[in-house]
Amino acid sequence: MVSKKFPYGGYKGQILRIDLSSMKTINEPLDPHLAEKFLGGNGLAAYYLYKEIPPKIDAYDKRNKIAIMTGPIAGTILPLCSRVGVFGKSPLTDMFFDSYAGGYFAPELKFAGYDGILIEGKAENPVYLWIDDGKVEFRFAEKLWGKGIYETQRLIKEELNDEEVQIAVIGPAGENLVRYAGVFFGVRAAGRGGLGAVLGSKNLKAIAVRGSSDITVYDHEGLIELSEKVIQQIMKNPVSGKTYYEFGTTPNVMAGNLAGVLGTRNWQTEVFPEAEKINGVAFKNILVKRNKACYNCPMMCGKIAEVNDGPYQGAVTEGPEYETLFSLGSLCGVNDLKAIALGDRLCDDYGMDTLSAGAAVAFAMELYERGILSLKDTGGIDLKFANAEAMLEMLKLISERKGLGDILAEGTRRAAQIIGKGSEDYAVHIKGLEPAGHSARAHKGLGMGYAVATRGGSHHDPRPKAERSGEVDRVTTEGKGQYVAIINNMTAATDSFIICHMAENFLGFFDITEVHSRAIKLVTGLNFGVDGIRTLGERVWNLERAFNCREGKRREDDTLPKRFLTEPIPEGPSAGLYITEEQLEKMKDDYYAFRGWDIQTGIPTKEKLKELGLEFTIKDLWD
Amino acid sequence: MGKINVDFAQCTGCRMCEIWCSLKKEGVVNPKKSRIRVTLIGLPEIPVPVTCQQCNSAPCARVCVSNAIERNETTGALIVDKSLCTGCGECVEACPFGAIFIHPVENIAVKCDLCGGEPECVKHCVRGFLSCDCEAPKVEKPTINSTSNQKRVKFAQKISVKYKGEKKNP
Repeated sequence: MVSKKFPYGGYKGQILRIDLSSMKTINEPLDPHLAEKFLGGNGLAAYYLYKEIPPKIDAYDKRNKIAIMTGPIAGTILPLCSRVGVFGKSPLTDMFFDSYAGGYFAPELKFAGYDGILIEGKAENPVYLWIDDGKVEFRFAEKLWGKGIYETQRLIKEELNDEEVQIAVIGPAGENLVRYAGVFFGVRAAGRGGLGAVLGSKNLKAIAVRGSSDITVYDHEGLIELSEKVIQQIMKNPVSGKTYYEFGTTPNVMAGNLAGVLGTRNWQTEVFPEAEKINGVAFKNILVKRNKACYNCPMMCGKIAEVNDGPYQGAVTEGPEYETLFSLGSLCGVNDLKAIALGDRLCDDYGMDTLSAGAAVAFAMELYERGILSLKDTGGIDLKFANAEAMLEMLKLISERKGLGDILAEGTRRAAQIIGKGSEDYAVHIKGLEPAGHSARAHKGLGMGYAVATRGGSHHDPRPKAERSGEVDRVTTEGKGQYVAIINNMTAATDSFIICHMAENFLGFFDITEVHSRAIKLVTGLNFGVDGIRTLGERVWNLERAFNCREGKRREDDTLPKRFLTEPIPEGPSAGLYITEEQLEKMKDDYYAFRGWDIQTGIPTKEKLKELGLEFTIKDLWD
Repeated sequence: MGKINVDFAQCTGCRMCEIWCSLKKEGVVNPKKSRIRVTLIGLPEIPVPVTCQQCNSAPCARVCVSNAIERNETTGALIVDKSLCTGCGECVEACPFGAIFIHPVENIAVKCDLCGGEPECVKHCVRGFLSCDCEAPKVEKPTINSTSNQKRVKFAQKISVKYKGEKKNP
């Protein structure tokens, strides 16, 4: 069942291919050369999808493919590396997209015998997939269709008579092709980019996995030693060892507000006077019932929350973490922690991204307050900022694609095109993706990083931490081209491992370290070295860029929403900050030059592509 | 009596106990081979670590026809004697906790043996939600019953002296 011939440790040496059109599955051996060149996770997926998704198809075309990938370290003794990635062409950005989740799925898939799954075609009727230690079968999912992710997983566990199977699942939002529907693993979300809707378009409701095989690593003893060291490092660090355990990521609300960088009321301002009500301390005191960890993670940033009283009594959810407190909270002007907890639960159960969903509601709230949307347009909902009830009602309508929800389910970019009347000016998105809760205006590197990101407004292409912590000057534009490129290379590489980005708290905010290099060496036997891993990251990043350039994306698409380019932050400690068009273009010049990309078009040059071993992309971009 | 104590209210489900147990006992990282199993119930998953309670009157030992399960007097752990176990599975049936299972390859019963008094799972539970009595220094402390025993013997000794050789003739 499992290839014993694979020359590198950590891998199972096997990819599961699923063709939903013909209902066939193939166990495809993994080519060791791909491991050498693209490692796993993000890198492998970018390779497969560049090769196999035809250019310029609609994301809902059955020729679009979804990859669900693990990394070589998943399931081994090394902590923080058992994440799963979902990849495909996004219906929200129409570009390459990658989204990641924790939980327990990745190691289970490895134990079941696979490094990853490649899904293509479209099933005639709803199905789910059952992978039991290398045996794969399709099962009917008619009775699961329309059900939330909680109920669906309960029913699948009941049907398979195993409480402990791990399940990837989409909710009604994915079925209804909400353009920011996610793929959920337990209650952990690969939320961003709408890849859940792509699975919905393929009629694939879920993938259940159970596995019991072993994983062999290259240097067993060495890896144990490194793991014990890494665990000590994690526990010693005040953030990864203490703050995450106490509060998760929720203290970012107050930290952001005190710095005047907390996106509020659809980014009209970045100060939220009621931030304290939705901050970490309130969260812990009012909602948290117990702490929760992903597989093999001593940080334990997950929190199980429960609402004890009031109108939302009984709502139970894992979360909300910082980004959700921002998107359903300050961005919508909502100060009711309990409503946000219910909103988090609903978004999970419907199976959609809390960030884009909250941003879509906040966008509609601004249009309503400006009179662009009327009470008639909203279906009688008083869609004012701070109206928690209205926010919750809109989430439901979006997941069902009813009324105004049908328009907002398209994402802010498309919604603005449909609504018109100047609403484009208030649509805050980058390449279609609504930005996370990290200020582009106050952190200029991050801002430019959003603009050039292959995903658009994701805080996991550029990272906010170095500028946020003051380690790097947030206001200057000098050197930011190089700064962002180095971070991109790091995230693309670490997403190929796949290692949790929270590891940056003890491994550093913006570069590959000796620990990364040793981890890969000890697990796989592949001796990249620190420089080799930087190059791996650069290769993956350029391949993603090549994918997007092949889709027709150019320098002019690397831009920011009008609000960030023309409206300074109006108040608070960061008042006056924004990125001028001129600053953005200057930073882009620096970025392209550092990257070895064509300054005029933003396309990677032939020389750069050759240098990185991506010759196969040249004919698509330059001939 | 030694056993692994679990703080059920605090366990976060990181499963590092399973990971390090299987590594120590089987030489591989594989939760399904661990002697302690973090059982994930419902959604959001509530993690419940389950392992041998080293029962006083142990059903597994009582039903074993080969007498393969015996208590180690130092640690208090119930140990499966590999040379005696036939893999019949009666102990699996008898255990109320599902804490003993048949090894898929070796075909004998496996269970927590408290790692000779220094359980690996306890060592690697980074926040200390697992603990083990057997880790405490082994100082003989008089329990209520042993105190009672000592008193009884002392009393009996006195009586025995008092009545020694004082047989009353009728």
